[in-house]
Amino acid sequence: MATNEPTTTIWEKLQAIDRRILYLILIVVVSMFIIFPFDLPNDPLPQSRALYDAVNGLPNGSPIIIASEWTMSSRGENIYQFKSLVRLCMLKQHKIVLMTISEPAAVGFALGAFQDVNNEPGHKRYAEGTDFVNIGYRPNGDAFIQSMAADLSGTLGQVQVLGQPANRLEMLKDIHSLRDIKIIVDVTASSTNNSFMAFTGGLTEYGLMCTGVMFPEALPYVATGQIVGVANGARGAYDFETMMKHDYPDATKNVKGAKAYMTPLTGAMALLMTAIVVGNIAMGQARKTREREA
Amino acid sequence: MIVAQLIAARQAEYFGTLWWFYSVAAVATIGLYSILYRENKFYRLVEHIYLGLSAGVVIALTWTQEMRGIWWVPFYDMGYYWWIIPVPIAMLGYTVFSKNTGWMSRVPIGILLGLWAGQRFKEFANRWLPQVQKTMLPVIPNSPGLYPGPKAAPVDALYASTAINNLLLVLTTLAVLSYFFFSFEQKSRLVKGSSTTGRWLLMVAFGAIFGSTIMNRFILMIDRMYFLLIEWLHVRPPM
Repeated sequence: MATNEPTTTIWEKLQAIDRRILYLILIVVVSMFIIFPFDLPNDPLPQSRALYDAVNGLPNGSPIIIASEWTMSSRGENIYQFKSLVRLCMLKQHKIVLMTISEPAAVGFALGAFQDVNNEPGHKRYAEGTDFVNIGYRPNGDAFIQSMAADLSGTLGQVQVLGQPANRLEMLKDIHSLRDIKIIVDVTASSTNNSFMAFTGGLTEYGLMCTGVMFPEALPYVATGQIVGVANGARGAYDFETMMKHDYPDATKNVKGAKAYMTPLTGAMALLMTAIVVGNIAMGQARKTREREA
Repeated sequence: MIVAQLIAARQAEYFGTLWWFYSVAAVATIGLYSILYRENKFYRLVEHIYLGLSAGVVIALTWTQEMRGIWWVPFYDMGYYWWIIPVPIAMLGYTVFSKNTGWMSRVPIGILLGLWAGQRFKEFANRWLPQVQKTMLPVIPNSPGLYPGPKAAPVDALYASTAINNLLLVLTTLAVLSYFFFSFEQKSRLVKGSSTTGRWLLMVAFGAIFGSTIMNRFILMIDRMYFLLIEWLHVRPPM
């Protein structure tokens, strides 16, 4: 018996693919590129290069503050940013002050990643108190940054490190004001960049390593010089690794980092763009078919 | 079962006694991603464990990272007894649960709002004024040629290429600002056109933000896949 049900065209079927099939294709593509990676050419973004040059161009042993404001939820984007920054600082033997203002859990992640880099060969092993200091989590970030801007030595004096006020440590004894800190670099997944820009402006340089969501919004501040440079998510970390491979080939030849994410990312983006193109063609063709049938 | 034993043996080979730690993390990751297939009890179990752990960790960290070192040690161990003063003021916040004394909760809220409002003055000066200043750019070139030549250009030289960039920036700013003129009806063709252009330019900016967001959200997924395949299963050495 003949039926009058309308026939479904291939274009309509394409638009109605079960989302689980799309997830499966994505998982297969990403897994394939993770298991079989290949080298991709990389031309670092100018914003990444500006930040890299700002840190790399400092005299050896310069004091810098690294604000680590990321946890597990943004690990993919921030961990290799943090590691590549710490690695660069260790190669330059900069004195590092680690701090956190966004959430208490960030301290543990920062110290874990810091120790991973510290255990790598190719640079001096950093010791707490002489080469780096961790002042931990400081609640009410805005007030703490203002306090740092007003009297850095006094603010550090309220923090106990290795059983003594932090400002009495050998590595910080010549640090009196924020002007003595050469640069603050904020590795962040939250809006802590606004606090640093608001309350440290004009006292020292400020660099940002942020997630992809934040990157476009940070660009106007780069244009005005309020941010010296920005690294954009894992891509920014890969930019750092690329530049360090060029400048410090021996010390970074065995470094494992964001490079491993770039091939699967390229595959996933290619799949996404293919899906968008195919979906739009299918929508157009389906509309034409409906118009012909009407 | 055989696959599970093989994985366990491989994990023990790489991580020693820590293999179960990685395996728990891997099972939790798979559990959370199982929502992509459909709602299921395994996902709910992992989700509730995660929420419970997060709540517990936050309480522990609030004491160890905040209250203990920053307030309790100076107050109790170092003799700064007057640091007790903020405690009753802060406790007033809990009066919000009572109808009779609820008004007292406004005291700590008022103090916090006052502090916040004061901080915003400085934020405006440091964060937004440079933005306003750098938008007021010259748009008429004062030096011949499109680009600076091989010789060092004078500091105040403005070549045609830079002037065009500046003009684009100024026009974009004005167009976007005109879109947000809601205090009068946009009848004039000039304002209407500018407002429409501003809306399109905003769309372009949002598109760029969305594209960058998508790219980096993929990274979060790739990071978990990398953990499962390389760090947990060791299908190949890390690169």
